[in-house]
Amino acid sequence: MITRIREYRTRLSLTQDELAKIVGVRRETIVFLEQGKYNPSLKLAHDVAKALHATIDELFIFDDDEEGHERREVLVD
Amino acid sequence: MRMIVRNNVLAGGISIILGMILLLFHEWMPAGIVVISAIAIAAGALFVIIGWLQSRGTIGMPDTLDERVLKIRAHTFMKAYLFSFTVLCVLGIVNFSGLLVMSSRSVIEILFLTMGLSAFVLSWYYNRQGDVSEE
Repeated sequence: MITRIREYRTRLSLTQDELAKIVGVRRETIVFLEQGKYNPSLKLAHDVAKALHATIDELFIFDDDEEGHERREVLVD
Repeated sequence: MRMIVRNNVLAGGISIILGMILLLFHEWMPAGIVVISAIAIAAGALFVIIGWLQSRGTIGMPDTLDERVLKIRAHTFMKAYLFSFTVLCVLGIVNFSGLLVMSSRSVIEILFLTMGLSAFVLSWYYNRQGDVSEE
């Protein structure tokens, strides 16, 4: 899993600590989220997305996402 | 955070009250009950003092218990329990087969050690990894 949390966070000039406080988690959790090491619950993903004015889809990219897109395109064609 | 502190103080108070009740009725109870009540009162007092100091800001508040921490704790305790249960089963088999006769005291000591050590090691490992998934 790849996340774009860091990119969106820096765009809003937020520190990891500030984002952690907004979302109500530890700073370490934000660190692991940014590194893609932690698989968050839907609630936490939603809270982070809301705090960063983005959607969950924009923030969290799974490895099979591109493959899925290609398959969908073939089916549509 | 305040709620965690309040719960700690409440738990401490209950522990003190229980310890005192046990102490009041110790004449009708087994001999070791005085030690247990003393431990309950001391532990309760410790909880209350820590909670009071935290609420005054003298010492730091406990860290946020977010979902990752709770998930890691739950997995740690579950795995430590399963590991200790396995150790207990092995000890039981060894004992019943007559290979090694152990006293209940040594079994309890081994269990304490196994649970504590495995929980410590697993907690360290999961915290380093960031999540409990095997990936």
